[in-house]
Amino acid sequence: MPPNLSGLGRFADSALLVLASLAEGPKHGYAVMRDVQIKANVRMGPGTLYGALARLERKGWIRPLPARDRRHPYEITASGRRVLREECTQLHDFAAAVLASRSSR
Amino acid sequence: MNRKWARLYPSAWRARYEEEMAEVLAEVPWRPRPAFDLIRSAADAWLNPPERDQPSSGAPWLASWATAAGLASLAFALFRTVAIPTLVPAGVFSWWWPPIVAKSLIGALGLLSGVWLAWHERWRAAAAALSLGTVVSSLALNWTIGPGTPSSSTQMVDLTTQPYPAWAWPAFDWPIQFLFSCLAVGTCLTAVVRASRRTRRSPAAAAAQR
Repeated sequence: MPPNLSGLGRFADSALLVLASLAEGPKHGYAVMRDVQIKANVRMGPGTLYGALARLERKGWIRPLPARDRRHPYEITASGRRVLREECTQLHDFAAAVLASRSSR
Repeated sequence: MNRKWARLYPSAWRARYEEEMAEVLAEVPWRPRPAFDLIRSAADAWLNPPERDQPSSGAPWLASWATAAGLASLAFALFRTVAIPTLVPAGVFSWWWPPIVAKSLIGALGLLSGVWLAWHERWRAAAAALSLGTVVSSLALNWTIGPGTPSSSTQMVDLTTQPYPAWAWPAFDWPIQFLFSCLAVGTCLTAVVRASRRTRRSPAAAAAQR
């Protein structure tokens, strides 16, 4: 079974958003919060953000980069990209199935 | 938001993330929602630290529930002691009230120490502290409201002879103590099982898992 976000408990959704944000390039914590708010319209609290970051780092799906101007950026790893692709594929398949069932009525 | 919010988190967590989280907090205006988010996430960091080996044993949860149940039972006993003082003669009440408070505090201290030790994975000491807390807390409860109050030797009042409200005795006392004791025992057993598993696990496997 490929690795997925389900083991992250209540941080799974937030972790997916963080991975998606970091897939575009390294970002520090506040930049991830802003990016998620703009693109997904989700207001992620600082506690949830760092809960997700800590778990993603623990899983090896993101890694910290050297601090710049007292900011601590993170970047997604290759295994993190695989997890993100897997999760997005599942979401896509689910959405496609729902839309197909609705259009067939 | 003030960086002092980060102090809600465990020390190990703060050592890794406090500095960068403070940078984020400085950008976030104070609102009830992010404050609640921080409190909730800090509680989660205490109970499910990401730096722990996965899957979690659940021992911290059990220890927390044991503590909550123990403190609730103590609070209940003290509530009854304070809330119905009219059932007890004033002079006697003031005589036996301090020892009960002292025992309750010792019991609570034992329970909290057990949780703290369990958090730091010192399982044997945690099991001992939780057992001590359980015993002392139960003693405090029994001497406060139990049927075996030694009224003759210590001149304490046997409250079971007092006109208790019908709802108060014994419907609440023993289920609470039973639940509390079960949780404490469960915590200790879980701690022991976890400790034995950790002992059996080889250093190479542990390193690979990390």
